[in-house]
Amino acid sequence: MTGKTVQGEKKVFMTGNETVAWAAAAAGAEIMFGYPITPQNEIMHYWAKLAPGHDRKFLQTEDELSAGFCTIGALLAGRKAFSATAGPGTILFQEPVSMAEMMRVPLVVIVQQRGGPSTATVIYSQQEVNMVTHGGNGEGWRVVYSTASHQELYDYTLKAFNTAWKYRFPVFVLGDGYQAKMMESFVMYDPSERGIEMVRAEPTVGSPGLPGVDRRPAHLRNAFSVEEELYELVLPVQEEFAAMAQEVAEYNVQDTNDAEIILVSHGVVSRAASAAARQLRAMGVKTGCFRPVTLRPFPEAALRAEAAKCGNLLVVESAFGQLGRLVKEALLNVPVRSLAAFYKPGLGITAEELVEHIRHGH
Amino acid sequence: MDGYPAMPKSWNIASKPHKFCPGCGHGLVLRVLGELIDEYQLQERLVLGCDIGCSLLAWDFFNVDTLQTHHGRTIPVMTGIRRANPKLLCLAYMGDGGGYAIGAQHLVNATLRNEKIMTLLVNNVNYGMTGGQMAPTTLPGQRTETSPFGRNAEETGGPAQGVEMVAAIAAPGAYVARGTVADLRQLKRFMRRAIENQLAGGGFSFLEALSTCPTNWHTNARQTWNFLEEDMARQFRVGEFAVREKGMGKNDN
Amino acid sequence: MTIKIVIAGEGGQGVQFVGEVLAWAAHGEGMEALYIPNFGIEQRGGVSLAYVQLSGEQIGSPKFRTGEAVIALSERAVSRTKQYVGRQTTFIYDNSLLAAPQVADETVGLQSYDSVAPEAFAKATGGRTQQWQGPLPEKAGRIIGLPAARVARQELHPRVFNTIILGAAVSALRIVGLEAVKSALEAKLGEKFAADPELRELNYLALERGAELATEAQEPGRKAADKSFRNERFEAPKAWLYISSDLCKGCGLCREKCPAAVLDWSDRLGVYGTPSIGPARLDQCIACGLCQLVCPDAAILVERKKKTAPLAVTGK
Repeated sequence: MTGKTVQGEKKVFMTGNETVAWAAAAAGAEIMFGYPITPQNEIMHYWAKLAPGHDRKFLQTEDELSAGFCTIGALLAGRKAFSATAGPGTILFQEPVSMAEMMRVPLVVIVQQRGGPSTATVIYSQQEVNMVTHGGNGEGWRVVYSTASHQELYDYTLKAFNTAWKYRFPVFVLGDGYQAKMMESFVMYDPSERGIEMVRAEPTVGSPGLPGVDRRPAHLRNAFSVEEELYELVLPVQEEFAAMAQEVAEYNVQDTNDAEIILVSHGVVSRAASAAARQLRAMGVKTGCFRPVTLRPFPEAALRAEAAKCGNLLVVESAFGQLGRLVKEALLNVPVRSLAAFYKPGLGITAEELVEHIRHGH
Repeated sequence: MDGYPAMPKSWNIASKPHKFCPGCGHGLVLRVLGELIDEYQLQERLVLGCDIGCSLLAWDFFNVDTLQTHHGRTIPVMTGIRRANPKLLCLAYMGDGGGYAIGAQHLVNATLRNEKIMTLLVNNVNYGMTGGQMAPTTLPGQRTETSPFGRNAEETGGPAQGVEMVAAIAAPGAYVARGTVADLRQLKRFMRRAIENQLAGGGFSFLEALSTCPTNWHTNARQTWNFLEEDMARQFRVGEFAVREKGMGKNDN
Repeated sequence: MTIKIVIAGEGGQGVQFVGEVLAWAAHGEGMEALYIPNFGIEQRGGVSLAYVQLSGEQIGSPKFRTGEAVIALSERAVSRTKQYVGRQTTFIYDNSLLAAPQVADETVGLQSYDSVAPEAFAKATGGRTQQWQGPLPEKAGRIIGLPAARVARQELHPRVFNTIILGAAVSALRIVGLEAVKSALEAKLGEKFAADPELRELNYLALERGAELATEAQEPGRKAADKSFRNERFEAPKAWLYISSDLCKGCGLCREKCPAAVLDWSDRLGVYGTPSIGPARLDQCIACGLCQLVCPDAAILVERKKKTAPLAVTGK
């Protein structure tokens, strides 16, 4: 067992990447595998620095495939392991994540979104939503926490380990280049001092005892001979995922009770939306906000209830309709008067431009 | 009589007869491995990772912890397990496609980092499970489904000398060898040393086994042996390419 | 009316060939035909399924619930195809093969958590007869059992086993004419036939023999024969030879390596329904153990009468 990295509560000021490294350490992560890609590099840098002093391990692998599969190996051996990536790295990560979905490996991956498609920018976007929610050749059995602040990066990185080990589905913490690189203050804490119990890691292979005599050998599969075999396996997992969704889905709302318009956004953009809504209210436009914290499972029921009340929604994101697609799916058969879009792929969004857009254009 | 048939104790009897094709060399490689698992009492500490391809069919072959990985990704998974739990002996089992094509970057980098895992690569000079396509190891002139007129080295290169490549970049403490199912006693000698290298805390152990694939070679028994013992033997040199010096291993006296 | 047919057997039995030729033959007669193979992950060894649909009109989905005919060529294939058998189904199976051992079904498609511990193996295999529990599908409208594998082996050639089945299916189902099947065979095997005209004759004979067998066949009305884990012992001058046809896949590697030409094909069918190896010239055996060494399936054990060396692969 690894020692504590945080004593008591501590107000700190640092970058988001550093935040993630400290959060993973506080969560009891024991080993990280990673491959350089901007804008997540400093997660590895900070982890590599703090690892030796706290009896943690780090390996820089040859690519993201290796980082993902090494992490899976360490998880199967019963260690809390994690990785971090972005952009083209997230593409490669779909392969190990899909194995984790099938074999129920508690894989935690922090993604700091950069612009896309292709190499694009190393700066910022919200264009990795499709990929983290539904990438891979399966049914999208992942949990995706989209954070908006360093406090959330810290809180949800801690939570990601617990969700992963409790439900045994892969978990993404979805940040972005802004959150990765910006510095802001937040409170760092040891989870046990806040009554947060961390789920214990258990080995899947290499348990004590002679296999075949003292215990059953672990024969772990992801390949099957016939389609019915796969079908029988997939359906119950799908049910488990749906049951988990009830417990895991999270969202925030702001001033929606009397709203004439609700801004739907996630991640760092929700900060602009929230500020814009307050400004608009001061100008007499009753504006509310809905923000899914989990993009997968998506808080569908909550959004449907808000939409049914208000009927006028504006989806705001730094991508061209990736959140929009999730929203549309959630709102199927809910009669809304207007579902409009404010899409700025790969571009940061300010409260001011939102205010202008709504006052003049909408 | 007790102990019949001639199966190592560590074999999982429930999965026998195994699912490899008639005349497939995997059964021979896995028997040699099974005998060594018995001899060194490795059942409890061995983790066998099976690459996708025919090597996948080894997933329930033994009463040891095994797992299927993705095509080419067995070395990283075993690396992760070994780094997380150094008490385990981690064996990545794969074919020539998994090792020298789709997973080549992992093989190269695990060698460079001198990962303390063992890789056992069965080279049957084609992609067997997918129906006999050309592999990096396919011989010049050899007909496969994707080289129907024979492999043209001008266009697609010559047979991959994987063992030589690994040996060329191997760090001190590594063990690198190539055996063949045509000489099982020698293969067992090499495999023993590859395992001992792990037990001694040495570095990366890499063993390639030249093997047979009558199904996709479209050969009868005589042609199968001939292809292995003559055609393949001409292209691939059998022997030890890198041996751990005494004292290189953590546990060497 | 669309005729739906499922053909199932062990990989390597030629199931796909039967399906494809049937479809080709119907196509040749101007019918709509749809054939789709459904392989397991294994190149050999998994249950191989061929789905064929023949019709006078456009054919819908390639898969279907119930077949007009289900042809099962191994024990595993019988249980694998049960779901396709309905009241109108003609169920055709090979009753000479059902008695033969198959790759244990419980090892396919299950986490093999329930595997036998090595120590328990002797008990599990020591002469115990493994009863096949699964009955033939009761629902079937008509059950036709025929000894195709035995007939192939004894009268024709093991290789035309599947052609016998093809002949039986054509005769039992009356879906396409024998001539159309022969044309389809010609289209598939024309080059081989040209090189070896006897092969054409052999296949035609097999077709006709299959048709005869189907006509002769009675509903068996009995349980399938017992399945035993066979393990035969033979005495040679210097050693006891144990050969398990339940493990032998008939690859012949041992036959080639035996320096004294002791081994040859036997009348026993091995695990894949092909001839297994047997001692043809026991008196010549020098007890070298090479056959055991090169057997990829651990089907051979050589027990020297004077024990001089361990029987495992030696090598220090």
